[in-house]
Amino acid sequence: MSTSKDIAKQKFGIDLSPMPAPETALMINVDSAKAVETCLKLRESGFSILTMLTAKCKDNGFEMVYMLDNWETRERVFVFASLPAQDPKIKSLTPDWEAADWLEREVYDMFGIVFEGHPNLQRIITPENFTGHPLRKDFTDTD
Amino acid sequence: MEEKIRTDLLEVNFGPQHPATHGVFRAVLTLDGEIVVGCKPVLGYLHRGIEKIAERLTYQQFIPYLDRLDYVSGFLNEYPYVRAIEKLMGIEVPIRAQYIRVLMMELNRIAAHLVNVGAQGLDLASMTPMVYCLREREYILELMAEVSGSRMTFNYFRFGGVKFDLPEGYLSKLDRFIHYFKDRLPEYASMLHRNEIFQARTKNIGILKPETALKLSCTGPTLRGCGIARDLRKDEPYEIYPTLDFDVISENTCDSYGRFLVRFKEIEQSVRIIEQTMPNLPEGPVMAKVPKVIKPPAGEIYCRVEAPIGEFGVYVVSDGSPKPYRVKLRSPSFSNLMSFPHIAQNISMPDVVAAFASLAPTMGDSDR
Repeated sequence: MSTSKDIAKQKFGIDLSPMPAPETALMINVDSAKAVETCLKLRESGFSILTMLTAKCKDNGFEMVYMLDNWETRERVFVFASLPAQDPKIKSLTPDWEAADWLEREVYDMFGIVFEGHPNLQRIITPENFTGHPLRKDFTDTD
Repeated sequence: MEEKIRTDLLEVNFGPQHPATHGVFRAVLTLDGEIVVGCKPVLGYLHRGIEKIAERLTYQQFIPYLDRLDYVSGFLNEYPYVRAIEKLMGIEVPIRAQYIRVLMMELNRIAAHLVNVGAQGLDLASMTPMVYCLREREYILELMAEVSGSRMTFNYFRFGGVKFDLPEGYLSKLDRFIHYFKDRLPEYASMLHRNEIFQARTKNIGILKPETALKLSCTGPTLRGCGIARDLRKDEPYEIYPTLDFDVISENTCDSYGRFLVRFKEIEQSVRIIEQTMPNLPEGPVMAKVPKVIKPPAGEIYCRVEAPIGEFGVYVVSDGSPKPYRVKLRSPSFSNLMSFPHIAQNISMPDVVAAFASLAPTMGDSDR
């Protein structure tokens, strides 16, 4: 059985590189405009489970982190996409991949990253009347 | 001429302050008579900002907070975080500590499953199994408290091992408990899944198809109840699991009954694991040599564990300072709850309660 890494390379020309040790997963850095497209191509290559979708602050901006799993071949891949500090937006994965729904809402809630095309982009963890995005590094307590 | 009766859809709040919501979960249900036609989950009532707290504490200081995620399975929440930092720092854990960790995690799994199994009965208005389950759980909590000093919020795992060695005579106590406990299981079965009413209320109710479960990244008994035998203890074994002999339970029924049965049978498997671990417990230290100040080199890692609810993962980003830069907790309840609107579709209001219990989420885990 060929690995998803090979399939991604042959079918879509996606070059996955290993993560720095001790992490054993694969990774790829993509342009934020191509993140969703890449995830969907990887899904077709066999990474059929979206285990984690999150974000982190990086270099005064943000970085989206998608983690996809292939349970058969036990491969795991991280997809990273950088976003600017001002007005961060990215295409939503939810219309094509339902598992992203609440995860994207959570990232929107915590980081203020807007997912374009999300059917119901509302705060999920904090109350509707909450201001600010708590997991941003420059967040200060509201009360 | 017959006059037509006008009917209307009714919106009902299920929760947040409802005993059957396993904490503080709220679902806005749209009812057509007795049948649920719409379900909108609302969560966040138990949000404590644990991921943000992590960024303000040192690596060691964060361990106790993990116990408060899924508060019925503290050991299993501590483990992936501790393991992630050990991997980042290249710490080797002594073999005795690995055995103790597995022993504690499996004891904890039994305790957590007992709560969930009992609650399933309780949500079907049968109080006795819950009380019986909690009776046995009490023994387990005491056994765990004897080792860690605390019944539920353990703070026991450390980078490089565990905090204390087992107290003297502990294994014989544990052995006594296992013997006593094994005889209790048929008793639960007769009150729960061998009971006709229980079966009528769970079989073919709360259907979750395997393709939906995969599409939503469901894990744990929720997934295994759809016939997909995925268990991280077998698929990505950690600690001493490769040396242990146990079965991965899965049920093909895809309903509340199947998910319940997976949990129930997993209790038996955990008992098997404990029985294999006890006689082989090696002598030796329980802590590796670790630096006083935990400062993992810059890097990132994802570590996961098969928690009672599903895959619990911790994604840690280190920038080389004594505080984590980012900790993401991948909670199984959160992802599993996404399947709730699918499960609650077109069943009656009382069955929604039972179907919810079959997912067995912990709101502390999902809201973080």
